[in-house]
Amino acid sequence: MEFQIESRAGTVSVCGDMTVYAAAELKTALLAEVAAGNTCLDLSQVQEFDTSGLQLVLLLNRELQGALKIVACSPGVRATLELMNVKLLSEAA
Amino acid sequence: MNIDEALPTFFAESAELLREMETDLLACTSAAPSADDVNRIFRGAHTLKGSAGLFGFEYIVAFVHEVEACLDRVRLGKAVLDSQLAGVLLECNDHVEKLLALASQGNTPPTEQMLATGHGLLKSLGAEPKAAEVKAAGAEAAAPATIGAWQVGLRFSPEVLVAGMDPLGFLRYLNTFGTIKDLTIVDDALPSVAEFDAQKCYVGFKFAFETDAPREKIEGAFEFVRDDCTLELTPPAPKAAAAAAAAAPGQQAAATASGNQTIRVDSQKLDGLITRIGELITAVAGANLVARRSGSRDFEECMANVTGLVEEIREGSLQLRMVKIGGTFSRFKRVVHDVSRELGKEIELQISGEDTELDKTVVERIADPLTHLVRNAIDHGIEAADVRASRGKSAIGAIKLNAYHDSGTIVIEVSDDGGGLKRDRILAKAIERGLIDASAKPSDSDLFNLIFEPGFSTAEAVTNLSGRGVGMDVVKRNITALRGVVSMKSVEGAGTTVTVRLPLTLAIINGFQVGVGSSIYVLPLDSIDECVEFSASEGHDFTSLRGEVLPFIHLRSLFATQAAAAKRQSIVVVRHGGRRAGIVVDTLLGEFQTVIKPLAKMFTRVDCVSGSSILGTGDVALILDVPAVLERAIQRSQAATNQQPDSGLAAVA
Repeated sequence: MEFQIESRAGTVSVCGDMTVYAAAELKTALLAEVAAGNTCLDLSQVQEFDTSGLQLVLLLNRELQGALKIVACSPGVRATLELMNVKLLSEAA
Repeated sequence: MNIDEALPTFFAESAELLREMETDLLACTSAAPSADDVNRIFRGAHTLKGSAGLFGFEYIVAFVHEVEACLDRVRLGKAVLDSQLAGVLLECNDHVEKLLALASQGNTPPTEQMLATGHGLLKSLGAEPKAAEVKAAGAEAAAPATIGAWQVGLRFSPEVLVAGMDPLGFLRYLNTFGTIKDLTIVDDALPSVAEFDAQKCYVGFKFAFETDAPREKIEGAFEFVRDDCTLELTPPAPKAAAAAAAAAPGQQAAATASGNQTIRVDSQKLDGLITRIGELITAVAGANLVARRSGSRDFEECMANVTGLVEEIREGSLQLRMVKIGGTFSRFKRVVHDVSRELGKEIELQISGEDTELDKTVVERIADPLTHLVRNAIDHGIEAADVRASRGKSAIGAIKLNAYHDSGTIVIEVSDDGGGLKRDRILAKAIERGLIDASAKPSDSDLFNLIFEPGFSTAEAVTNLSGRGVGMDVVKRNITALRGVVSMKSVEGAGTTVTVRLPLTLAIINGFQVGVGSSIYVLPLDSIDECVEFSASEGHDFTSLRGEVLPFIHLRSLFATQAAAAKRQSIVVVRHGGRRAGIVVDTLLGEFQTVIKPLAKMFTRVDCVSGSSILGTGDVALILDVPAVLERAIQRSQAATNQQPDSGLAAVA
């Protein structure tokens, strides 16, 4: 396992890599979290973030009908999201 | 992607651009152009310059750049695109065409002479105020065409992630030599949760990419995933166009979509396809025959299905070769423009029926004869302005081009409202040359058709006959080679109409087989009106068809067939060019698809036969030349009514 997931008070924290190697497991795990009503993502502990990770975020957002919030993210993820023009970031200052 | 592979596309596209620019420029010679028109011409020049630069044809870039600069002045309102400037620009167009021809011959640099021509042209372009030119050039330099945003569309194959590639990585790399802006993730392919395979790539990207790197560098960035992605690159548009595109992004998308609906196919491949379909038809005819002989009902049913399908394929593949004649017609706008300028006549070209379709090969081969006819009409048909005025005609002469379909043929008419043919002079000339008897009273059409006789028009005739006939025999030969006919109508003082009739296609026709004795002949189905039972009183060469006189001819006597006549014969009524005649045959065998094989050279003199075809049995059937047979039948019946001795018919076959 290259990642760990923790959820607390509606926020799911991912720790590790969000890459194609872990994508299948991440999908199952994250979808379960979302189904359980956790609609915020904390990506501040994510190191690697590739297209599969981006796709997962898009998928989750679609499942939540656009209500997904990324509350924190690492500099790497932030650069990618900015490049991708993905406006899901809503950091609580 | 090897850049050389794209070269043929470049030449094809450039030729198209030049043609479009030409059309627009020609429009400018008659009416003041709108801003849109100017922009379109400008964009054409700009695109041409851009792609020429991409392929390293610097001399084209240098020349087109000046043309573009001149058009820019027009756009900025510093110059007026009047008919004079349009004329110069047209010449520039021609020059670019020559440069392109040079480039296509292996990028040989232009000769001194060509450079001089180019300079001369540019000088006439630059004859506008010098200050404006400097200013315009300055503006150009401030905003070089290469800086701007490329529009990039990226799609990856689903397997790209598993292959160890990360599309995001390529985008990050792009950002090292440019700036990605306004990126949109194309996620419409993102499947439902259940079907979502996290290891597959579903997303694509669209973005504007600001860079001054050349296309190769951008393409090079995707070198590693070349097989796993599709890259759409649209070069930066000139500012105005970019603004327009931004204003209507939907429109642009629609334009791209429609652009994808056509593909360029090597015409040789099409020809190969048609040839093979021809063979297929012959083979199916053979199989049909076997099916009928075998007596197996299932087999016959199968064959009927196959035959139906083959027929559809034939129709479809012939459709592929059909092109609209409009493209050829609009070429004449230029001919008319140039020739009328040369001769100092004001002439308007009216075009109708440009959507009429015909076979590509025919279109290509008809262009030259038509050009000749149009030139002739301008040169010798339309009178000088003062003569026209004295005849009470408008000072502007009119040339009309018209095309329409008529019973399996396409009819192209070239008409003018000029002086017409002088009947008396042609008659005198014909008698002098011994082409007709001094006592003969030929009909107008017979007489005018003499103009197509080789050598009919000689040097002294040029003035007498207003020059018509020069090269007319060549025109006729070209048209006859296409299995077409040409005829002429003229009213002295009011104008002349040349009518060209051509078969729609050269390869395969719907044929109607008829039998005489043991021989089988094929008639083009489109030329057949109906079939009736043979009835005529002994010794007459005509019958009554619902009260109308119908001349007919016995195919048996035409081809000197030995076998005795069948008990019940039939008349096939054929029509061509508004005239009808009957052909008497023994048996009617019905409709068959017929692949036309040209006759060998030694048979070219054989009258009444236009080709041959191989039947399913392997036998050869002759395809009848309907116009010729019809002519024979009418002549014969006229000869008979005139109580003249039967001239006898040449026996062939």
